[in-house]
Amino acid sequence: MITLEENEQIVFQVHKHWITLLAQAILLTILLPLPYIAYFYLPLPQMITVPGNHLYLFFFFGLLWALLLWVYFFIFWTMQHLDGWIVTNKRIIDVEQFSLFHRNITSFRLDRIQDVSVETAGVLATFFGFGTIHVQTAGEENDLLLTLAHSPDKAKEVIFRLSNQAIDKTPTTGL
Amino acid sequence: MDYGNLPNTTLPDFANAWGFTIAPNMIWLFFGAVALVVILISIVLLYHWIRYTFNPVKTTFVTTIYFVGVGALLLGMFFCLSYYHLTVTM
Repeated sequence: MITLEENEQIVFQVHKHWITLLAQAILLTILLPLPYIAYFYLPLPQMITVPGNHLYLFFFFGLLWALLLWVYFFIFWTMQHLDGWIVTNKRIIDVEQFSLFHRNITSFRLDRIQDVSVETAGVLATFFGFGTIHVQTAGEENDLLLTLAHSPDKAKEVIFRLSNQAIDKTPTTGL
Repeated sequence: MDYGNLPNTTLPDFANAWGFTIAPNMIWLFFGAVALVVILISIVLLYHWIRYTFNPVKTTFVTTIYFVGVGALLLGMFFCLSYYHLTVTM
């Protein structure tokens, strides 16, 4: 659970683009009819003998296959949904979701940001509006990188604006 | 290598050779195990959706779609197995 500081508000969230979900959905849709193809094109009734009407048993296993794909898709969705950046008025919180039980949360203060760059490569990325956002930070902290990010240009604009506001608010030493 | 004229082996032949019979009850047990695993995974997913998300509207929508799908598929499996059981016992 991410706890926000006092007077801290979420301004923007950067997530992976929906095209990753679409790609996964297409792949699973292709895999869905595999048992039906196997049943109608392979001589399974001759290879495996079971008592009773095997057609009902076949539909049982066909639905089981569909259930596995359905659950897998939502596990994938969860990992995609939780992986991303939460941009607040004070910092960027980078949530990396490696698996359901493995997540890494790092936060960087906005006044530590030195540069934000966006890379949009390829026809699909240009057409659908996704790309890689790279945030360089001052000091020894690791830079932030998010691939296949949704609306990277908008994210860059917001992060730049918030970063400049944070730098303006930072008290100077007066030297 | 010549194995001679071996008969075609079927799954019940294997079952009989190893001393057990493949009965619908075993598939019911399998169905129960699958349902249990799916329920456990669903609890884990629900925990993630409730605890970590910042978008309750989207999460509620996805949760509804997920559970409707899981429920429909489990129900379909239940009816298929019931019909299969009937064809065996009748």
